[in-house]
Amino acid sequence: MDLREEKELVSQAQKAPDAFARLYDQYYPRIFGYVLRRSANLEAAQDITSETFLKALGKLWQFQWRNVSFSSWLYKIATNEVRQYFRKAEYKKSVSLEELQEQGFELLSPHDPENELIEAQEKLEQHQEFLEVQQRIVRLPARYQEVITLRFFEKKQIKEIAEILGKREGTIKSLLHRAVEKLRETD
Amino acid sequence: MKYEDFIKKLENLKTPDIELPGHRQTLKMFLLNSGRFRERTAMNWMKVLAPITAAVLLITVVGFFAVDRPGPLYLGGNEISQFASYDELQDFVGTKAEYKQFSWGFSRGDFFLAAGSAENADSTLAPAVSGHSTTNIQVAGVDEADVVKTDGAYIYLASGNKTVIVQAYPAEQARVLSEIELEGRVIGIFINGDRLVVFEEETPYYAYYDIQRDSSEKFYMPYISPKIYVKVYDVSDRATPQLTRNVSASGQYVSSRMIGDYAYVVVNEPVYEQDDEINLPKVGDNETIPATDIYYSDVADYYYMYTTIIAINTQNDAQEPTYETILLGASSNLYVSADNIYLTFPVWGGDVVEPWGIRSSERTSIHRIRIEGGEMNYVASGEIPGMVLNQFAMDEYDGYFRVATTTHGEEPLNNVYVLNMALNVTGSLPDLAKGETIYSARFAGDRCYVVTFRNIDPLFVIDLSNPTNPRLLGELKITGYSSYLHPYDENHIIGIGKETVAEQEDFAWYQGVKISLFDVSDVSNPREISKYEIGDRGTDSPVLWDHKAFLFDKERNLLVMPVLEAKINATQYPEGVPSWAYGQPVWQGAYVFDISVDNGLQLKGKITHVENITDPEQGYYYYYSPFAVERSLYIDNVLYTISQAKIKMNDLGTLEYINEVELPYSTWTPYGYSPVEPRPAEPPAGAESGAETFPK
Repeated sequence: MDLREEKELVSQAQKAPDAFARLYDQYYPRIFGYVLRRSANLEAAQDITSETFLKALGKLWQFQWRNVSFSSWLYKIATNEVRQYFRKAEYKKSVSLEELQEQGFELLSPHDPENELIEAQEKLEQHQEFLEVQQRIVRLPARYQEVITLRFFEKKQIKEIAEILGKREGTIKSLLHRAVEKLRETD
Repeated sequence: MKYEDFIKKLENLKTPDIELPGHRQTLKMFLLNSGRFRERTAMNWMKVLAPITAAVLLITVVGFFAVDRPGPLYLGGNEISQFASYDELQDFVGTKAEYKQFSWGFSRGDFFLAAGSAENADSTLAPAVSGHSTTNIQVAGVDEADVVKTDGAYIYLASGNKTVIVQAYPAEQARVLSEIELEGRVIGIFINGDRLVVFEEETPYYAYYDIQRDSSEKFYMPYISPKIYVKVYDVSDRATPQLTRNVSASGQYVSSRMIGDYAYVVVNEPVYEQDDEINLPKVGDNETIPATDIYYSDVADYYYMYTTIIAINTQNDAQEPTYETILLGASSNLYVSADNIYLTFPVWGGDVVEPWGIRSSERTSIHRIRIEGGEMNYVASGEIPGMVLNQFAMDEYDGYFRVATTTHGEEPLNNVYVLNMALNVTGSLPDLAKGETIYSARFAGDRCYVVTFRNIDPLFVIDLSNPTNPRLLGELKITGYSSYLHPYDENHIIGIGKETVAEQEDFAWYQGVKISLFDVSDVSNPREISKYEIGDRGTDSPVLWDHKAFLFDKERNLLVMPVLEAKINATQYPEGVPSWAYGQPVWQGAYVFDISVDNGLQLKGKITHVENITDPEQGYYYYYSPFAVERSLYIDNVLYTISQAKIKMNDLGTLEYINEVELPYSTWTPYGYSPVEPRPAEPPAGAESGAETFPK
């Protein structure tokens, strides 16, 4: 999807569900993946991803199309949600997908969420090397966690990271340098 | 490990790429079935969240009585009263509210502040002030704040965080006189003689910046409560406005009205718990409204909102602002009038399981607060089935409150109710247009016009002369629908909406923008006597959702509206252009019509501020372009079209160009999402993280 097409979609998505659905399909896997690689926790990743998209939908009308891509905007919301998750003993969510499923939303879904979760957990546990690094990353301050994950796991360019975190590119570069050093010290 | 090797290790680390298709699908269905897409208005969190919490609600409200006297009121057997103490409030919220954590996610687009009318006043047609136009408002004498105002000599504009005063007349000498720059966004303005009233909002943005200085130990404030300021300026010298008054309140601006000398502003603030304390609303210099001043009804809800109405005398700075605060459940809609403020909010309860999810039964409760200058008294409350579309679906006339609603049952149904001042239903016309939903409504004296739509547009004409027996007089079925209805005169009504092409029995594709003139003089047989279609599918006009963008003057046969015109390139569809094809925007500006019963709608001309639509600054963003015409007005014989970037003046008769004024438009945005002029994202030099700037 090129930027122009995306811009059209975002503008339509404020009113049209089909346009929003296309954006959702495009970005759900990336946001869920990002949040999972930040948290290494499937339950948390579900909750945080839900909150991210709910907030995005609610704030779509405020989304000012300038040069920040919709993608960076979503990552920004997700990043903020992850921070909140790490900072609270109990992550306060405004909607629980479990509740939704209990109340009938699952009727539509051919999926078996419980089995999926078990299988996903098994898959996650196969990534021992990643989990070991992730455990060390989460002990770093949030700003370091963010730049490292965005750069090395999400493969974001410095410019994109700067957009997502709302900092200058130079700041990101130095943050990244320092973050890697800090992480290396724990190696 | 060496630095370079460590980088390589990180780059090559195999990371989990796991999906949960069930979660993905469930969340998608939830988002798509949210109120966001079922309503024309913007996202309403409370509606979105209601289905999942409706089960906890205890609301089964049946009846209500109230009279205009002080004393306890009753809503469905639940007493409405004031809290005896803060502890009582805290206890009440603690036991009753399901969620105490609040997300700022709703939009003021969901609040309808409809102005009622003084008794016997003509509640539909604001008289045209000879010489210049005024904001297109619902009710004569009840002004509505807007981003553009004129007094016939000057034009006052809100743009981003600025308010600009322009000497507008004579057009040849038009120029910017002054600018007021504020910290927050200017939501709207009023002009009242030499007093300019500015509503400024301090935006509830995420606390991104506070937390960037890091330290995971710091308590994270998830949201900053927004604050609004009502600023009154003495503009007797338009070149140097003087701030004479600044009234602040915690919460989010919902809407405002100005009646006589008084500006009324309605502010909402969620009730939340922080450090085991329940917040209280604040007015003025951090003056907390005591719990004992707050009204409430004994109903458990998803969560609670404080709705505070503040009355400010714009002419007398010495008079203290007055306020009235009510603690209500989720999603209160508000409705103010010359004599009364009406507060409407959906009542949740009685879940219905639909194939797409849970739907709660729809009822709307209405509360009336009598106003007289700075005096405000909560006097009556009542309830009706269905949801209210917008302010034009409500009206007060001759001692009765009338309202049109839609219920979305197995099949949608539409209803018109008449209530007395105690807010008891005196008459109703239920079950109108089965399977369709209301797209627009307008009350005019004893009549009500309602447009419903599914695949064609019935325009219903309803007689309300007998408040105990509303009657359907006639209906007209044509293609297309109207999103805004404006009375032309007693027997004619203008409809602004979209043309449609029916695809199936229950579905139609909307096409371009359509303006219609209906003749309802034979009420049993309404007719469309003229129509004008603009552009292909994709064409849009702000009038479809914001009546203030509409300029109409019957005496001058004038109708002006901003339009974004889209065209389909037919060569892309060699097989013929399908009904669903979407056009590309090709033009933005004001369409100027000559309108009369005899000649119908005649296009007089078009005025644009976009000289080159391929210029990124001017045309590329279409809606967001600062060159997009948003409002129009006239002074004497000059038509003024207004975008963020300029005011253009053309002769009202010939549309010949006269002059233009460049505006100091603001690219300011309260959100950190725009790199154009973001809030400072970096800590100031010397701050803790300043040390992170490494030499290259």
